[in-house]
Amino acid sequence: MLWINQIHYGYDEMPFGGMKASGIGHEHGPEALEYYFEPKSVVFGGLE
Amino acid sequence: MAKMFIDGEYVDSVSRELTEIRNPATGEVVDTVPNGTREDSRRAIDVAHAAFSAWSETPFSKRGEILFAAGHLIKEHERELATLLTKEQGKPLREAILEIRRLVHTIEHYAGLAKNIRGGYVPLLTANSYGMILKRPIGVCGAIVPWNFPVSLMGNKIAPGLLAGNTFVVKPAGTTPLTAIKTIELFYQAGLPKGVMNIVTGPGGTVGQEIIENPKVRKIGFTGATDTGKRVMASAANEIKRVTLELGGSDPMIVCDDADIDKAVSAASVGRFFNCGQACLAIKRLYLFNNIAEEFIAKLVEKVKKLRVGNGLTEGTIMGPLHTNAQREEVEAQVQDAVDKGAKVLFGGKRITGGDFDRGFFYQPTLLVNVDENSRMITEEVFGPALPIMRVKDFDEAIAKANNSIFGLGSSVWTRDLKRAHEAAERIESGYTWINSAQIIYDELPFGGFKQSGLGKEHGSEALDYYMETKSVVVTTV
Repeated sequence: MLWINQIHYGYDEMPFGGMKASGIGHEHGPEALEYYFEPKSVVFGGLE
Repeated sequence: MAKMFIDGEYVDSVSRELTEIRNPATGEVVDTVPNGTREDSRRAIDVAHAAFSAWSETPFSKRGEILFAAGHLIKEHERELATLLTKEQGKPLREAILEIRRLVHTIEHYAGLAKNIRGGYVPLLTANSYGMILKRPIGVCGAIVPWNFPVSLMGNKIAPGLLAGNTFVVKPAGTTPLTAIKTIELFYQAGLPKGVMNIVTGPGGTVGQEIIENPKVRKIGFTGATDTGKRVMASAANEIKRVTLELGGSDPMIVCDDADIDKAVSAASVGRFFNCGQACLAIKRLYLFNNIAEEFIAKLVEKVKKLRVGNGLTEGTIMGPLHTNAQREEVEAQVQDAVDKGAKVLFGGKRITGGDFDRGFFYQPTLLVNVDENSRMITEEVFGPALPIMRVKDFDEAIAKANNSIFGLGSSVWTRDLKRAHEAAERIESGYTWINSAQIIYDELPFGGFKQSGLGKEHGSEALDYYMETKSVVVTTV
């Protein structure tokens, strides 16, 4: 996370999570939801 | 004599030693490769690290163009690459050609996404500030690739990874480096800058371990056995390296009593015996509704009897040898364990011997019934041409048995009932579910296992997320 002209403050609107050894994944932001779901692919076919 | 590719040049190992690559169908030496060391790996990592800055600042459109050009060159060399792949891996030439095409499709898919990369803009966080969400490449990535699909599974890592702006060190399996080396040469012919992708041949314990441990490597894309994947993840944890893990599977196929039986029989045969059963997405457990089981099994036995086993380069071969003798011995032990627990071998169950067969690791396509749910064939992954067949009384029992596994990679359900189909899609714990087809991977859909079958996604636009860092920026306009 990078702030320009502002002190460090977390916003719910923005994904938050570290690079390198600061972490994996994100909290906050709609992005955080992705880390609590398993995406699953389904292919329907042969229904003629 | 094949060589490693480091910094855009063909090089030998500092060890000066060579390893022979043998044809699993004949035992003949196909070629030799350098027996790489940790030092070779380190050099490749340093080179990839030095190349990262320029590659990560190259416009996406340009990176897409290079991928397209590489895909085109690979297509032009399809026959040559496929022949080499059959010789080192053992799969029938027809399947080797399909693998090369799959690789090209994946490369083209990501090349096509080059101009569609988007970040985010979040307005009015406060009266005078806004947010931006940037997508950044991760850095040097290690691609650790298995021997069952040596080039298409490499493509799943390098195509999204390179497009995202990362640089690579590729570690092919010890027994299948040749087609991968040739493929990487074609990327350089297509205009890939020096050092952006490197390949080091040698043992996993040294060459691979250096990639996993070296702090300059920021991400590991690994495909292989679940046990090895766990070790990769544990080592990567030391530096919070990112990982994508595509691990083992024990995919169930459920055939309901309203299914198109003939189509399902064909799919079970292809799904189990393609690549001699050595596929993470192979059909590994077959659950049949009681009232269609007899008809289904009779038709499947007839189909499997006709599978022609032989050298992959021989016209008309449908199934090649197992890749190694150790692989064959593992399947034999799993089949024996099932038999010891009461299973009946309906077809196959033996090595194929005599004449040319004695030179390779051949095994009959094998079908078993009355397989106990505690057999190794059910609890472990069966990475070879043997299929356990179980009967179930209804849909609920089928789903419960399908989910009774540490694995959760793929699954298929055969039914004409839309309600059952939908329920199967929702309830089966696997990253991919096919209704009335099986095993076919689409670049358009994300692929990755639940449970111990893996972590992260390959394919789809989703794969790009696993090769990029998301960064939040807050701008205050003072």
